[in-house]
Amino acid sequence: MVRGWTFGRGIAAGFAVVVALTVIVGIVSVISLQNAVSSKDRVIEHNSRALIDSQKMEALTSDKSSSARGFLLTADSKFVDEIGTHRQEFLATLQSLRDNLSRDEEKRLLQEIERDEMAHQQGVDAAIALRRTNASVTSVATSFNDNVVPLRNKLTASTGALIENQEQALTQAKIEANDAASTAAQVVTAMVILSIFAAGTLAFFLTRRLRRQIGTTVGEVQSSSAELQATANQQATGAKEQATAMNEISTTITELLATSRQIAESAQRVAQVAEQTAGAGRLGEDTVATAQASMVDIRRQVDLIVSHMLELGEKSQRIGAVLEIVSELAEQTNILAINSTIEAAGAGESGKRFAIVADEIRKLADRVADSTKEIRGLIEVVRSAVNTTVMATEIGSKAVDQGAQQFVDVRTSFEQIADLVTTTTEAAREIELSTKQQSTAVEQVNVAITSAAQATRETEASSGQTYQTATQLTELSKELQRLVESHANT
Amino acid sequence: MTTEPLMLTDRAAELRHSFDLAFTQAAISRDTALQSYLAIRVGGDPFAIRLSDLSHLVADKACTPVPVSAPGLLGITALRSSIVVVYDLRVLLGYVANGTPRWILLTAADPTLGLAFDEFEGQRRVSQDAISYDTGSNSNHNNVMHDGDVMRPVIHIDGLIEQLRKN
Repeated sequence: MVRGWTFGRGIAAGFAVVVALTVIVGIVSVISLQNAVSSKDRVIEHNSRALIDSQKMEALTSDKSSSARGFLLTADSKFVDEIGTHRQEFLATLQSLRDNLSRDEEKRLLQEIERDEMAHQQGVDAAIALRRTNASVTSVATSFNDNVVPLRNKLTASTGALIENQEQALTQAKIEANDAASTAAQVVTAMVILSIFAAGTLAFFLTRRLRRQIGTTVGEVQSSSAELQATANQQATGAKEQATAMNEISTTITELLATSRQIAESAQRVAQVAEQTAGAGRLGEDTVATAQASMVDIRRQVDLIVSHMLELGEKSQRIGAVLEIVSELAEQTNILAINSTIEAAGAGESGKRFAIVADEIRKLADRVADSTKEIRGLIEVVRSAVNTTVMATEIGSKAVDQGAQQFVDVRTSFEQIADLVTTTTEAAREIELSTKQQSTAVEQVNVAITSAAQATRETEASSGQTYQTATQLTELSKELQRLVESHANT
Repeated sequence: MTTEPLMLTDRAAELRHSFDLAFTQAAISRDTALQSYLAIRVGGDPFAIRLSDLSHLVADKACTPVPVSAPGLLGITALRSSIVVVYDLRVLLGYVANGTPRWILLTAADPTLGLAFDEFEGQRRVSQDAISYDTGSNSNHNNVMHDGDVMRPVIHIDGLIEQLRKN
């Protein structure tokens, strides 16, 4: 169980034992001192007091004798009072002694003193009574000397015996007190020595245990310090690499920020250009609308021309139809003339006049045919011109239609362009806003990156300090182990 | 174009004048030295046929095909209350028949034989000086008529008839 104790518990147990020993030593010391003090007190309180009381009784005896002598001489009653006072005080002192003294010898001496005092008082009372009887001074003095003085002397002797006894008792008490003090000193000394031995033993075992534990712990601390050192080194290296990466990121962020600003500026310029384009588009729409209206007028005029040309073409066709009729007539006339000529030739002489008529008819038919050919040619020219004109007009009309359609398409395109420009403007604004937000975010990221870089540098510095601390810890643990091992070896 | 109406107006006056002149002049004899020819086109080429070789000329006459196989035979038609066998002059002259010919002439030698051709250009009365003999031409048209700037080989109708009869 003791093996599982912690440093604190072990040290606490050691201190507890030391404290317990100290307490025991203290208790023993206190008891011894109390004994010594008691002895001394007894010497002081009891023996000295008893001696003093004994001496006081002796003094009171003397005083009473003096007062008695004084009454015997003067017959003053105050001396009687004084005698009474002295005797009361003597009896009180005697009682006090009787209360305090317990030995048989002392009790015997007190009894003797008491007897002697009573006897002395009786003698004094007798003397007083005698004096009061108006006896002569000489007889009183003789009675006093013969009766009282021996009693006084006896009382004084017994009081003296008591005093001597008390002095012997006091001396004995002093000796006993000194012996008690010496004994207490010895006991305390022994207890101190014992405590020192126990503390030393406890310190030895505790030290050995602590040294073992500390050695183990120091070894673990050493290995942990080495690991911490390696970790701190790796952390410092990682922090350095991270700082480098942070710098690169910061540079990239700065470039990104610059690019974002350029994009924002470009978006702003695009928005401006888009707005200008939208304005131009609106002007273009108006122009196209005007041109479209003109195209409509042109179309209308062209349609009118076409209708007139078609009408001319129809009339030309009618002329052509009439001409066809004339041509047909001319052809039939020519055929008739030919057949007539043939018949006239077959008729011989009688057919000669008819042949002349046939010939005239032929000539007429030829002339008509020629004229018809010319007219047909002219009609063809006119019709060709009309067709050409109509075709040209149609082409022109189609071109006008195409142009109108193109104008419509252009207008639609303008409207689409305007819409697209509007959309582009809005998109450019959104791009500008987004780019500004992006720039703000990038700036915040830059600030964060800067903070992170600063934190990385601080981490690197901290890692360096940790490495130094780990190194110091390793050195300290080595020193501690060296101290622990050197102490173990000594 | 501004001159065309004026010419047409003159032409009308000229026609009127020529017609009226024909009535005012005395009857004159026909110049028998002039010969009458029919100016035609076959396969687009100009030809001429002597009017004396013809008995009749007709246009736009439909032919009814007959179930007989003969080179150039178009069919039969009714003309002048007679059944006329019509041949395609284009095929007989060696041209490719392209479309239905419009004109049909009846030969004087065989009025029941008709020859169809593309185009009729009119009648020509020319002098003998306008006819020349072309030795290199086809045997069916070895004479050539000078019709202004146009050289018209004269189709030998009799030769064609002989050829048809032989076939």
